[in-house]
Amino acid sequence: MKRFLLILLTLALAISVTACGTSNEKTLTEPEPIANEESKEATSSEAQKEEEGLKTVINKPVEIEFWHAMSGGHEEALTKITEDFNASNEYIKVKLVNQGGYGDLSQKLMAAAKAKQLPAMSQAYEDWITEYLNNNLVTDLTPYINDPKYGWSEDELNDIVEVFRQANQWDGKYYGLPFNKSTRILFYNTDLLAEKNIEVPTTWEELRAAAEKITVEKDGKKIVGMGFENAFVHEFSTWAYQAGGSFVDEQSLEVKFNSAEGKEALGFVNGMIQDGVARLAGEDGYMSGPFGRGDVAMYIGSSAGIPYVAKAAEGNIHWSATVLPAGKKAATPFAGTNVTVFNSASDEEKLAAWQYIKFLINKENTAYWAEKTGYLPVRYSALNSDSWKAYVEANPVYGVGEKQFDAGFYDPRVIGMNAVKNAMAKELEAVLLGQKTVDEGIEAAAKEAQDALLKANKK
Amino acid sequence: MNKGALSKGFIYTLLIAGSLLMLLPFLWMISTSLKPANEVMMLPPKWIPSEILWENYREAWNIAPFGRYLLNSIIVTVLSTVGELITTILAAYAFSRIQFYGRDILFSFLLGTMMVPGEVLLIPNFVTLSNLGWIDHYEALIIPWIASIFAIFLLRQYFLSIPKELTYAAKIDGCSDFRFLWSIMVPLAKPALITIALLKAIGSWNAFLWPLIVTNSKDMRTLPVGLTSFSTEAGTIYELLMAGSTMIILPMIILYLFLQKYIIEGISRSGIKG
Repeated sequence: MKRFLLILLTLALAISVTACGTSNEKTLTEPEPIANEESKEATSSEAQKEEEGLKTVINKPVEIEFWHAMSGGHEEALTKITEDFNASNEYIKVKLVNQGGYGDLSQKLMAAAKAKQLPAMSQAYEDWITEYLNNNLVTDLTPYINDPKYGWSEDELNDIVEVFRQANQWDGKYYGLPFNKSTRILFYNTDLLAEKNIEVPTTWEELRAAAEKITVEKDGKKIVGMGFENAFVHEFSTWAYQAGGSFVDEQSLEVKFNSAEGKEALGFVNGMIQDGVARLAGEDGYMSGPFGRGDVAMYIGSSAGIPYVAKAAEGNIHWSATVLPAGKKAATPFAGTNVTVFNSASDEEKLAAWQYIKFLINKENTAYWAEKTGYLPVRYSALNSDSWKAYVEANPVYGVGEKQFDAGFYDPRVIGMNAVKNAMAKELEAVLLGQKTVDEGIEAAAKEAQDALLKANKK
Repeated sequence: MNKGALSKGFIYTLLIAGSLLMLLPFLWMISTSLKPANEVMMLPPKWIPSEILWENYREAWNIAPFGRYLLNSIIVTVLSTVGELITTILAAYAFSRIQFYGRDILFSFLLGTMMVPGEVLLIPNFVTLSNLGWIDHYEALIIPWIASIFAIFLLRQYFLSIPKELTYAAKIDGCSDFRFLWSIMVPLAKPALITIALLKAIGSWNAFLWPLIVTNSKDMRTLPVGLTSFSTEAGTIYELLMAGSTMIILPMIILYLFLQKYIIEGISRSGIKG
């Protein structure tokens, strides 16, 4: 009897272990062959719809959920727009669901996808969308955009800022639309620059010269010329592009930054840090702290941080912001999330989500959103509107982001970008801490990044 | 005598220094919760704010429906603690006093599950709960947590240390297992039970990821989830976050003041903290 029980239990364990194994495999991002066929079918039927226009009609109440990671003032602004939408719609009701931070949101979307509990729509970064696309989870929005009845005219579509449009297209199809977009800008302390009679830097050389001039130690308090946010790995691609190099190739999944340009980029930043004319945020967490105290004269940070800088600086320093200084060329990253619609939603829910997206990023609302949050308006018409122009006049720092659209780029939308950055971070940090030379660090980072990338995309 | 006083003095100095070090984060939290925004990140830290801003607390309380979160936290903490005590007492008794086939093998399998990290279980558990239709209900917040292998293990060891003669004597007098458990074993195991309950209550009160994952509506969320309202990708409103944190840990501190004897005993007994 005892032996029988033992066998039974071992069997149960074996089964549960294999069961775990299969479910783990499914969490990987391998596109299953069946899923691919399905997606082909889906696109062909959608293509038919496109010719005839959408057949879906909403004539009874539809409630959809929009999962997001906006909190505080950002959430308030989103709630206001959504309430306006709900009030103006007879049948559609959008329910906002806050899912914590971006990391929490991503984890929850993953779990919900497994449990077939996805909401109709969510905020998502581009690389998340790539992953959802590979698992056939997201809806192609192109038929909705082109629909004669519900869609946008050509002008309305092209009104969306080009770099944001590109970031949301996969093989020419839209799987997302831009929502909360931010960029990097150069914050500077106007008092400290004026004191040393320094012009606002526009090139690498000027930046370095300005940082050298400003860095002093007086009364035991050190003022450092230039600052960088922690996690330099997120800034590195910007410097590599500015040096004329590239980062990671989205199509071939090749790491490209271990080039002469990449080394020049890291060498430039590292040189400033090693020479003591620049520092990382370090213990302060975000650079807005030391910048607001007047310990750092300039720093490159997210435009979404403007309200935090304003708060930290209040009563301490005078400050402003400008476009990033250029190296061989100008290059500015655009980050932030998009809205995407999931396949699991019914036709009515998808249409409802589309109607909501149209409202969310129309001219008035994208401007309202930007004014309330510090994110960028995503439409040229909003940027050119009188109300936005008046707003920028009163708050000049909010006008900096739009000046760099032409130099804009976005991170390669490859699966496993997070893993790649984690792998690189250690090596880049070792360089900035003086433990490795630039050449060693970059080669090691490239190798780690390439390994991580291939592992995440293993077929 | 003199030597004894000296070494005692040394020990006390060390202990005082240690406790100050431990208190420092709490002091910073309370001090920050009363500061204006521009003093939060000052270096060296400004321990006493230039003006005491009590309205930080009001502002923090109003940023999210904290009243509702508080109610949910209390419901979840109380029910999952009571639930865990019941399952633990019954299971520990079975594993220590009742003879049945495969008992020890079954017990070692249960212990084996402690080696599976919680992160691995997150998605399978979510799928199970959503199949049961429990997502966004109290069931999801409470039921997965009313059994703890660690607690069963702790109590079983405690039960094993109670002399078997008591069981035999009770049996001879015609006492049922259930009666024996409630009238003899449970009162004897009170210190272990209080330890288990406290570890559970603290863990449940502080839990963040699980309540966030299994709930969608604000009506179902708990206090730690509410704390995310103060952070965005670009920064954190520290003074409000600290005001919120102070309010949230207050009940635990009060609980601690009343039950510190048991908490210290529990931690030294189990070798882990909640």
